[in-house]
Amino acid sequence: MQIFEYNGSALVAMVGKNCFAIASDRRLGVQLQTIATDFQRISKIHDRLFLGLSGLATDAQTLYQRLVFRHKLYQLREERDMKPETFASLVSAILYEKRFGPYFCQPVIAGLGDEDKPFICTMDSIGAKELAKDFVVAGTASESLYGACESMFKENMEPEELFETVSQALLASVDRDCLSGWGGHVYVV
Amino acid sequence: MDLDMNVNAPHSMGTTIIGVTYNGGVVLGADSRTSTGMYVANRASDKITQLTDNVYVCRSGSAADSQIVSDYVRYFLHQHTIQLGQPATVKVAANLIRLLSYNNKNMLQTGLIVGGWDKYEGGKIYGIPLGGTLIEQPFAIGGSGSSYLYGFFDQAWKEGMTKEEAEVHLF
Amino acid sequence: MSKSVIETPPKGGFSFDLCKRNEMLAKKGVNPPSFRKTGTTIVGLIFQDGVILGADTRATEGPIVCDKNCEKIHYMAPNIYCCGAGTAADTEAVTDMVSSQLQLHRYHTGRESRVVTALTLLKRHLFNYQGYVSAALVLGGVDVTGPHLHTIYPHGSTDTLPFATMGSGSLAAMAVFESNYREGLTRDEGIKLVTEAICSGIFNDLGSGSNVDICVITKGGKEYLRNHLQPNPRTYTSSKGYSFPKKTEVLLTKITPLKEKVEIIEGGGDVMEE
Repeated sequence: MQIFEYNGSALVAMVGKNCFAIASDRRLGVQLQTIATDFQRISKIHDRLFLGLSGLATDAQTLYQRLVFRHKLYQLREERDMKPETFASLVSAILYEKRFGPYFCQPVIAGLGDEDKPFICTMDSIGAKELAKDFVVAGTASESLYGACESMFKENMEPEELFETVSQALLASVDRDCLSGWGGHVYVV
Repeated sequence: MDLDMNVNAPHSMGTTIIGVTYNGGVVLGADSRTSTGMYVANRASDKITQLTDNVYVCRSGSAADSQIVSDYVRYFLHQHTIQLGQPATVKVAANLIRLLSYNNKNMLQTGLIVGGWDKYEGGKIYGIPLGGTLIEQPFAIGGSGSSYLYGFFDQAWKEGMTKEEAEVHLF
Repeated sequence: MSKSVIETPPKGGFSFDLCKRNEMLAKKGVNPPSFRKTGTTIVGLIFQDGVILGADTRATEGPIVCDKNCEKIHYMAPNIYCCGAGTAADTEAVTDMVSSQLQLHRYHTGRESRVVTALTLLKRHLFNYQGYVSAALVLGGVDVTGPHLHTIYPHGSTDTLPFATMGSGSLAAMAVFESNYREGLTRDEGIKLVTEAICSGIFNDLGSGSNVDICVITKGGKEYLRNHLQPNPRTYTSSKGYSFPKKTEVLLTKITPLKEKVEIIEGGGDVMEE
């Protein structure tokens, strides 16, 4: 068994016109048994920055706590919120620190930068950044998400259309993955 | 797939290295192929490395290990030369290599041949094989190709060759 | 004790906290995830007045292409660039680390960085980790001593060559170099040869793909040609796009307006006195 398959997850983020959407499924399972159907995989770092953590839930929560802690320290010291790019570098550094004993966690970062420029990014479990212009995916349903997003994505979508595209891509993909499902959470910023 | 595995294998040198003394000094020889498994990663590599003006070393085994050893020894010899105010002897160089090879013998996969000339002992060849032994030899052979050469050298080597004879020898 | 309770930002270096747990999981048959690799073709050559580096732009994770247009030519110094193959995180981290060390070194000495300095820093790091940091690099640059091209293997061994290839497509690319390289190539000939070599990697090696990135470094400066050639454009996009007549069923909508950030400047900012 692959470690990512223990809890199961699906994460996707997409870029629109001056906006972005990040969505996840709501299932938390232990292998094939479902434990919870309203699991929160995406969390808010600040108003314009969201973080989704796929993979092993225990690591996702630990990592989330560490990242929030580091972000709060940054806020106190700098008296401002982190830019998405900065936050991505922070996540990457924290993950790479554990290069030889990694967190089993694949993060997706989505945020609005200066002048509402959307930023999305994903990483592998040791912090290799992938900055995409269109969409990023992660989790057990990533393969079907790649396919769905690749065909459904259009450039410069308005928030309403973006929401619809992301939801359809997510729902279509989790239907083909037995380890994720039970609807989804979508955040459009 | 097998080939792929081999490309990722550590970079090492399927090597033939030779050092020969003659009546006026030493001649060192090496091939120039570096391989990773079956793939020839570098067909023009330089396995004879300069340590000081008058001491050179032939490297065999893991490329990374032998490079790091010779880099350290070069550094130590430079310091030594400055402190002493005169060129380091071959013996000192060989001893430094021996020390590094012996102290880290569990981690290093490298065999070296040191050759050079100094005013005290003339041309000298030292062989430092895998475990960190230091052997002073009239001629030394090393690397994976060395087994073919022992017979030849036992037959052809004689004391007090001229430079030309020694060079012809190496080919 | 206090360290485990209050977690302060780390000073650097790797942390091995989770190794034991992960090893235990691996023993139980839970496989660790595959890392993002750059199954790559990277090349470099020395031409008439400098160095040309080239790379493909595919990043893979097992059999999946996870990035179709990633950057593999990393910045080291204004006059030095480095192509990376192997585990993506390692090549990225190792080049970033060394480039910051070089920057500090430049601040300290006030001189242009040399390629050998970068080479030594890279090989020292890689040798220390005995090949576990799997970064295979092609380092190229022009400094006061002229143009230089080196390859660095994950175990920390280095080679100095007039033309070099690395990564899974290195054999295909080397075939092109071996048949067409000569000394004293002009800039255009050099770029053409590098492009050819990368293309041969892209088309003959499954780990490499997508576009060609090129970086030309000369005495006077450098030129980074991102996506110099795009031999694999997307041909299968639907012109109409998808529309969804039946809307997604929304269970709950919550709208949170973004708060405006208010900046308070005390005393107008001119209270500083001499």
